[in-house]
Amino acid sequence: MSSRFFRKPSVHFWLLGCLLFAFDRWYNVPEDIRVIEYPDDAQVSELRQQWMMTTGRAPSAADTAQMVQYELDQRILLNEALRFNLHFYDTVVQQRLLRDMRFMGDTEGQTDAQLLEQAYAMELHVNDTVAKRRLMQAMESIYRAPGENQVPAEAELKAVYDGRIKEFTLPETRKISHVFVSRDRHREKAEGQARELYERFSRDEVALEKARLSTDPFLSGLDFSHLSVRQLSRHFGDTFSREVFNCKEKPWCGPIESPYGWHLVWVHEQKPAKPQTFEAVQQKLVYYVKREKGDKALNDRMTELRDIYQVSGGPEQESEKQ
Amino acid sequence: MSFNYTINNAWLSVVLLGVVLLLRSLVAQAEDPESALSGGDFERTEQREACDEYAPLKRAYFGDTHVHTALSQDASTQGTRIRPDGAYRFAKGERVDIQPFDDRGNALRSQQISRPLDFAAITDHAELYGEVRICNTPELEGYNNWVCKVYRHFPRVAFYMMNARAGFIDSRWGYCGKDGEHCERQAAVVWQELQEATEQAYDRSSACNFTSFNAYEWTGLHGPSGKGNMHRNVIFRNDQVPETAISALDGRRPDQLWSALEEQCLDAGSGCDALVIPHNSNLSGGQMLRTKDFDGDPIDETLARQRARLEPIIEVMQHKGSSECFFGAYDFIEEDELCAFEFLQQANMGNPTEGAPGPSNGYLREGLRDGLRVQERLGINPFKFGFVASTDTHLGIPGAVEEDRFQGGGGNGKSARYEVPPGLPDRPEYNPGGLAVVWAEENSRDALFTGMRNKETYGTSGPRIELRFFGGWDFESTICESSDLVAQAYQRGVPMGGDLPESSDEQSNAPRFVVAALRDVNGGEPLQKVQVIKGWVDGNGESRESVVDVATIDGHDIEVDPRDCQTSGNGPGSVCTVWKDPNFDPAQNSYYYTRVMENPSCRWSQRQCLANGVDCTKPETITDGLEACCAIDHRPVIQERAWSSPIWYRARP
Repeated sequence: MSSRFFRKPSVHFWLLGCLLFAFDRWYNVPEDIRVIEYPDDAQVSELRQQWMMTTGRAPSAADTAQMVQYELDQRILLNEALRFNLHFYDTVVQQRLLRDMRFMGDTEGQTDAQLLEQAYAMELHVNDTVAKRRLMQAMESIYRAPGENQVPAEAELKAVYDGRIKEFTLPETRKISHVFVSRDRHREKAEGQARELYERFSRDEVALEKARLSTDPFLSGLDFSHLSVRQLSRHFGDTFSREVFNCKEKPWCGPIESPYGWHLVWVHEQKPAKPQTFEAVQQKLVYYVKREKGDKALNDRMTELRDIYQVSGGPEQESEKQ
Repeated sequence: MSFNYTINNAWLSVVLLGVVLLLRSLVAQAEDPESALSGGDFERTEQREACDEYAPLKRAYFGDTHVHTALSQDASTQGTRIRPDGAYRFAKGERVDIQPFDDRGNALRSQQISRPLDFAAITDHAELYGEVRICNTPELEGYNNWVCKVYRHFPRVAFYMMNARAGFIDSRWGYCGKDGEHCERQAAVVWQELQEATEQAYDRSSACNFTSFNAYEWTGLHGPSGKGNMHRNVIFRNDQVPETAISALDGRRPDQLWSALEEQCLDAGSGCDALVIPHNSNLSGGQMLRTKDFDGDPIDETLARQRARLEPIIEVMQHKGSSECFFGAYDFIEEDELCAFEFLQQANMGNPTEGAPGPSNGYLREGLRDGLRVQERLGINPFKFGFVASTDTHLGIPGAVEEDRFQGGGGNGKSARYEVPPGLPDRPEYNPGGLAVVWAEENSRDALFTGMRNKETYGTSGPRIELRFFGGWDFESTICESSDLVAQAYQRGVPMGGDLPESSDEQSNAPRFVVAALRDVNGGEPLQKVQVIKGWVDGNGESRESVVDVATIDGHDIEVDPRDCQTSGNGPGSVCTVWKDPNFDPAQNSYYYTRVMENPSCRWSQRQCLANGVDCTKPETITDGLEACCAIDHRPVIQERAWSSPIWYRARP
């Protein structure tokens, strides 16, 4: 190409346009700059105090970072709420501001509209803790809505059902009978007697009906039908129940101790854990799917917003200044 | 001829049918002998999976039938935020946040019970459902009414103001609209929320882990001859309930509640069934158990029957004290020192100026005797109550009865709306409350409700003591040695809540009672004492009672040191005994119930005093809110206990 080509104004125009286009694409200057303040030392200290009051221990560096990020997210939400002018439409916020105005001074003769105008001018909506919290919550609800308002398809529900099958599974159960040796009756001899019985029952293969003749009375009865470990523990305590469920011997387990004495346990039947049907838990599944979609919608939007917002006054900026 | 043949054939058919039915029942009994011996099966009124655990001889199920959440005005004004779904989650064993809350909405306290309950009923006050909802919902008309502003800004004032109106004045607040329509519409929304939460909480799977009941509290104060606590809880059998919760604003007298429930539920033909559980007769100024009707006349047969039908059980103990018995001697009644347990020195919640209570303030032993008096006159006993206990928590935490983690009950007690109360978390005269226990074949609504209706219930002051009480004429003294003790007891007698069967030999025999108890396997103290209390009215119309130790635990150095709450000494894990009434008079109507005591242990207040470092010999340790620790009437030590429902004896005419 001749040098005359490159001296043409149109070529210059075209080259400049390409440069500008490239600059715009690579630098990505936002249309509006959104800024939030990093919590100052006093605010971070307050967060740490709150943590200690509720957990009883000092927060680690990771805990503090998490709290600060949460605080920043809350400030983003507040800012977004103000950008959407929610403070002008939310009735809870308005009621709160009216209450503040009436508390602060003589408002006789002034209408609600006049009071609100003054409240907004004084920026009460960003200084009142309850109003701020309401605005943040309202904004969260708005960002959740696209996810929560979708009606889940059956395939989705089935996928969640499969993924959460453990939660919907009814625990394994045991059907047992027992022969009881009472500590109250036999005192220090109770354990020895229980062991003797166990050896005799096992050696002579004594059937349950015959073995019952050797039992001490037990108020809750001798037969327990299809109980989970938690249900069994109601009658005999946790240690006993765990031992019964762990017992591999047949037909007699034991002697197993409870707060009442010693027990020789006959396990009739062992039912494995079984999941509830899809239909039985369908309503719960709908709730889970909607909640998860709502959470995702909110998280996605917060991720976008974190990229958009600039944080001023943070520790990185402080160290840069230094 | 053919006509006679036809008639004869018809009779033959009837006879044959009867024989077949008899044979079938005999075969069924042979196949399942226990079902015939357990007091019978129950009617199933709902669709659900069959429970894996079904015990014909019944199991004890522990629950709470008196719980308030944020839907109750007197709970929400104290900062309670837990709603019914949260209360049910707590009952099932989850940890929940409780007030106070900071400005960011973070709770400064949380609570969790060590063992889940088997059942619970949320009983928020129905009278102010709509009013509370309106005052909390900005979008609703009336939110800015001055009453609501007081509710939100001066909650303690609102507590008295709104309850006083609901209790004493026959009209609603202006913001409720014409004829209270607006409040009633909102009340219906709240009632629906309650039902939805209750349904969500109910385990209809075969695991039968938890049962919830639709319920509410009726909060009336109009007694037969004056103002007094007349509060009672309405429990529904299943999900068939009236369109609205019938409150004291619909009818201020209990008989109006009973009539409305009969019309809209029991006799409506909709499958609805309900029972009513009165509470705090100890604070009723004698109004709860008066033998007059609401026009001041002696109870008539109609009213007696109605009450007997609707109110089979009553709370013997809860957060606001024990209603079992008056502490003190009077007339022919000797002082029973064990009546001092959680005994409140307040006569009437409906009239605080009434001062200290007297023997006729509404205690159950005397009430049961009054029932015998009415029965003598009318042939029907309106005060034939089985016993339960409950909490009456206003923090939305059912079953939180453990003395070692009590954080207050709210309601009439200390408010924790703005801060954790300094010192003791509740007023020292109040307590964590107790548990309702029902003997039932399975943990389902029909089974538990039937148990309540049959009065096969008892109350505990917190521990999960298992208690059996049977009455009969020919129990062998060796029945306690039998491995089939319970089956025999059902076969030969009646369980708690029942009536002694007629005996052919009453003139020369006396009833015998089997009492059997198991200590709380997960954290209770050993058992220390078993008593049988008998009440009757003598030939001169005087109240009489006897309190007999039927099982004494010998040879143990049982004590608790209030300086550190360490218990020492031992005791049995189980007790069983047979007691025969040595002073039985077949001509006297009477009742019997049993009371089982654990070894002594520290009361919740003493535990808190010690945890706060109080030493009554060092005044500097008695800081703000802990003064009660060293008050002369402070009771640092209690004996947890269980009370069975009574068994009644009716003399032959």
